[in-house]
Amino acid sequence: MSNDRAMLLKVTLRMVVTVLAWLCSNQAQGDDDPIFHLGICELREGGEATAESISTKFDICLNGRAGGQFSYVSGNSKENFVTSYAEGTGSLHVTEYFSLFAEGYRHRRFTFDDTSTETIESDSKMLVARIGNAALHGYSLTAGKFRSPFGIGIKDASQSYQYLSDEYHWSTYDFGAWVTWDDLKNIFFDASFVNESVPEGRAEREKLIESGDWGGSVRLGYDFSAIEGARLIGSIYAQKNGLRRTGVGFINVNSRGDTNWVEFVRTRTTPDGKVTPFRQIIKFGYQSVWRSASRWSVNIEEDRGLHRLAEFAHHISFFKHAEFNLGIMMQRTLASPYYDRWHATSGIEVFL
Amino acid sequence: MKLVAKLLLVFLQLNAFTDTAFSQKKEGEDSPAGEVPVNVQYDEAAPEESDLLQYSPPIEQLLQNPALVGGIESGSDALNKSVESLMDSLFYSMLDNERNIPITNDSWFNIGIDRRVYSTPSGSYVVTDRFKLGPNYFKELWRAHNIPINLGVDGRVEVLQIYIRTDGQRLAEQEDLGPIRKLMNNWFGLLPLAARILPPSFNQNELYDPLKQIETPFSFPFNKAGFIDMPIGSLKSYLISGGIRIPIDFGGFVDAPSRDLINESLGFSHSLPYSVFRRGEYRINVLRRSENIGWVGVTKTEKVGQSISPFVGSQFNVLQGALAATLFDWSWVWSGVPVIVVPLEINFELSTADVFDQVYEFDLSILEAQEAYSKAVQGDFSDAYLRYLDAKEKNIPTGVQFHFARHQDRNELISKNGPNLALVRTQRQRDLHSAEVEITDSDGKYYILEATQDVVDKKWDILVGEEEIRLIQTVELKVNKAVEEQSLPVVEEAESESAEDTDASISVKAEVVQQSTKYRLEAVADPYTIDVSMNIQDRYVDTDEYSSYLKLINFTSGIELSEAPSFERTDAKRHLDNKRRDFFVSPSDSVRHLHTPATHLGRFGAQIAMHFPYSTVKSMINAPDDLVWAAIGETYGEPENPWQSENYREALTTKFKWYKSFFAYPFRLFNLRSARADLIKEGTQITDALKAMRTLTDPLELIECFHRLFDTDYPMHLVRVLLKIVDDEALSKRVTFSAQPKGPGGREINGKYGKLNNMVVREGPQFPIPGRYATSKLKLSNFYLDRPREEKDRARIGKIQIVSKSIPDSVRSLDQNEKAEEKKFNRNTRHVFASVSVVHAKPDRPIKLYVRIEQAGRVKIGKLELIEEVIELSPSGSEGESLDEMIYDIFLTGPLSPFTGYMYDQMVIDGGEFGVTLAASTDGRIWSDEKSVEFRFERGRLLPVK
Repeated sequence: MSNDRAMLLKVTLRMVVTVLAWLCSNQAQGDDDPIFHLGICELREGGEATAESISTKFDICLNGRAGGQFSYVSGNSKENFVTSYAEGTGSLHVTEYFSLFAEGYRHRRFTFDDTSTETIESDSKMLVARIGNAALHGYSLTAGKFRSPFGIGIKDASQSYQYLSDEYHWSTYDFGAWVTWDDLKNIFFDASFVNESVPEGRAEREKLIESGDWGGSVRLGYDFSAIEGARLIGSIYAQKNGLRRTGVGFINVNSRGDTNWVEFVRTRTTPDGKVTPFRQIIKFGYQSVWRSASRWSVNIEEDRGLHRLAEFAHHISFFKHAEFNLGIMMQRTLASPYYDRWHATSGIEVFL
Repeated sequence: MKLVAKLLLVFLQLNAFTDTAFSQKKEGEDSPAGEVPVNVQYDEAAPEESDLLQYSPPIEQLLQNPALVGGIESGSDALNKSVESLMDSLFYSMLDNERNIPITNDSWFNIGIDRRVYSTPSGSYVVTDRFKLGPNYFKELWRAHNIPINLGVDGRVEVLQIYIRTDGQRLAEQEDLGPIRKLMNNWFGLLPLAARILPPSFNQNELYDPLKQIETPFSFPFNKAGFIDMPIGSLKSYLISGGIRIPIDFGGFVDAPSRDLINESLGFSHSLPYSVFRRGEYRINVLRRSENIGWVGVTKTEKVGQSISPFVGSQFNVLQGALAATLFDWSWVWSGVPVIVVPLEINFELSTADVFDQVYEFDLSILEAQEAYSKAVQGDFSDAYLRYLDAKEKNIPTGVQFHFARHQDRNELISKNGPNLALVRTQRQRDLHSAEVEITDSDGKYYILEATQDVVDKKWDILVGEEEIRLIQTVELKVNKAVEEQSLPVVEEAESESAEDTDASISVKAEVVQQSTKYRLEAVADPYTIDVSMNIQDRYVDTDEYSSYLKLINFTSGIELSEAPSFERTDAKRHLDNKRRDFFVSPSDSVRHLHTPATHLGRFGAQIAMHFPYSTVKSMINAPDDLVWAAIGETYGEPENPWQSENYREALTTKFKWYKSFFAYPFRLFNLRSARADLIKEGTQITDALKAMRTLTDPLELIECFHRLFDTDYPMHLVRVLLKIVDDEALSKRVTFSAQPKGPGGREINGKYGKLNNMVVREGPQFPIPGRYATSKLKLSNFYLDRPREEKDRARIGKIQIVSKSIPDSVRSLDQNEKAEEKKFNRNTRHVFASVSVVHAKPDRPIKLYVRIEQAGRVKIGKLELIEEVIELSPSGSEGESLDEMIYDIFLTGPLSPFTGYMYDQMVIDGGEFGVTLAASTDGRIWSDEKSVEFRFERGRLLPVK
């Protein structure tokens, strides 16, 4: 990362902190019809939203989190690593039918091996304008920079887990358009067309013939009213250069808010178009709702024949906007070079 | 290990620390103002005495085996298609066991035992345990061009016991059982465990009491002692049957590439057997009506016909080899879960049948009746007939009563089709027949010509179980049978005595009397009428389905259902909450924001009856073609086209519509139908049948036309068309609802939905008083598997009130006097307390209350059943001044609850949403409908369901 970008990020963070401080003071004064919404944003009850319609003014929703996590690798201290991260999302709702969204992140990873490598990644994950709102009107058109919608895509695992996860390497954020249709009863459908690119370094690492091309995805979701809180999702993703990915996933959110999901993803060909033995990932996740300031999370991922990853973590919240987490993670390769690793992870995070 | 132990210790300490110091409490959570008692008043009408036919199928229909008739079984290794669903595969098939013992290469002895469970409109179940055995012979006679031509012969004896089972009855029965039998009935505890964790479609009654199934072959009541052992309301039946068939499997005609695709690529087997068959059955049914009254019915059937049964499917063993064990030299590998996948299955049977039914009643407290009964159940009814005559003519109290005998000469078309994909299944069963019926009852003999179509559409999926829509349309012609004797002159030519006399042969005239049977319409006010009945049963209905059922009832019957309660599709508050949140949701996160689902209401049932009097049927027959076509166009989905115009109907472009129907036909095999595509075909059939009737006077020809009219794939559309072309106001119509609220909708929605139960909506004049034939059919319907008997005296839950309540002060004196050390109740803690009012309760004796408590809310993939018990309660008061409705109080949680236990208490302390299902009974045998309520209970406060 260049110094200019680092400086830009610092300035941006300072601005965000300043705005947040102002907002907090504003909210504390008892504004019952706020422009700014923080954390998990909701329109005011009994205000802008009624059963028949939603009438809004100018609304801003901000959310973010930052923290650090230490991963202690059992039996091989040189593989211990530390991650620190900051992620933020913001949306600006000009009218009921027009909104702007932005999401960005900065991740730093430091390993304790002989080279003491430090890796820093930062990017804007999303910068889009949206016309319509599928959840309210049944349709929306989104354009800008985003990642192709595919599968469930829940990211509730720890930073260490996410870094080791296969899906981490799928990340492609680029410019395109995205349409969504929703019957407002059981079904939603979205389709996207994006000028894709693979993350820096991956093209070289996986010997891809090119690092990007146009691609697209379609995704169909169906909610079972018989199993309230359950959704089945099927997705297809394709790149012009040959990469094909299909997935089926299932989410269940129970009455308390505990969320379970399972997803099966099959990658059919390599990006250079040559058929290889298929890759198949099965992912499972469970995230309990906060109960008495604590919650549990479980994440499991198996990339058939390549690796297996599992994490079991406990989270404790304090002061409403901070969290301490403690977990155990298992990492096993299923292909040469074979190795098993057990990680003990611990971290702290602040969030809005 | 040390590291793990330390981490665990740190975690526990932190957890305890944060629980006390940093726990996040939402504002207002501790406010008692949030508490909401659950109070559901079941403002439902008492059930009416129904003069309608009952709608559950008779035993013969439930137990018919088209596969056997169709000759699908190509040998002893035939696919076991009794495994119809995944639940069957996983669990229920444990009670379906069949063994074929080879005798020779072509013959084997079949022995088997199985269980089927059917649900009834009242919410109870009918369990059918069947034992069968008999020899089979099957041989390929020869093979022509890869087409095997076979010969199959079989004989069979079957014994059945059929009984009503409710959850409450199942638990109440266990109180009288010894510990060993109780354990065995519950599969040593595995059954209750499975019921607690498996989806709602899992039914314990499918597997409960396996020993009773084994008793089946020895349980037939050949004498009074056996009869007294039968539960009241239960049925026992035995059958002797046999048949011969010649199946020809035309599956060999399939070309090699298609065969490879089906067999190798898709892994399915296929067959296309055509069969000519002849079968005979002799069945005796015994029904215990009350303490000493038993009915014995006999059915004799002889059938000759042909059938064709295309089939593509296979059995896959999922998770095969997933479990294995080795013990010394013995090794075992799990064969996996058998899953049947049958994309294409059709049975189509055309036959003529000679059916005889007869029903006698025996009062077994009288000696003569006991002797006659013992002979009757062995097939000899002569003694019963004599005892009946003694009673009728000599007024001797023999205790034997003859109800009726019916003889039918039927032309039948039976079909069954639909895919079964293990997780979902759809099936249509159609029975179309016309019959000449001779009935003998206590007033003498009379005749009816009858044409009936009976269509049953079933849908099943693993999540919510089965839903069924059944429509029966029947026309009855009251006729007199006349045997006409006709003298026919016959000319016999005498042999010529000589060749020369050939031209002048002597003719000898003689007369031969020839008898011919003629039917004439009876000279009564209503010589023929049409009756239509429709029955809908669905154990899991949400607001979407409820609304579509109301539309379907309105479409079929034209009855306005403004009295039926209506519901918003979704819970308005939840919908609004979601809207307020979803407004801000980022496009990248929208996938986990689920829709607000249609509100689950509970069980739904409806019985629709319509009577077309003679005048209406006559006007229907005489309706102008243009009017009929206009009604057809409107009903079948083309109101915009001028079907009433003959020019339009005769235009070439209209004739091209026949292609739509032609190309849509294959989809019907998979139960995908488009009324619009089949409009021209159906319309032509209807108008042709009506046109033909206008000039006919012979009742046999007339019934044949009705047979053709009813021969439709769209029975509801046909009824709608008939309604449109007659004077609607002259028809008697009625719809009777049954509803059991079970959803999370809270008191308002559940109470509103509960009002639907027993609601009757009528239109038009009164239904006519049932005639002789209708009365006979009603008697026969007592053998149908339907509602529990003694419906009128059943207990009924009138109101349920759930509140939170602390332990009352009155309990203090007891704990101080007796076990003061152990019972130091926390008076500040509140517990869930239920008050239940029960109609038809006995004030002087305790009532049995069935209680099931489950974790409710949105976890419906696997339910978590916490409690399922039957308890006895004494009344705490009465509802009003009448002692007919008593109130019973019970703590559902806390130390005074009869259900208290470590696990249960922990779940209650954790809080969350709970569902309580209650049913009441005065004797543990006949139970009320189950009622369910849901509530949220957290930290001693009762809150509305989220």
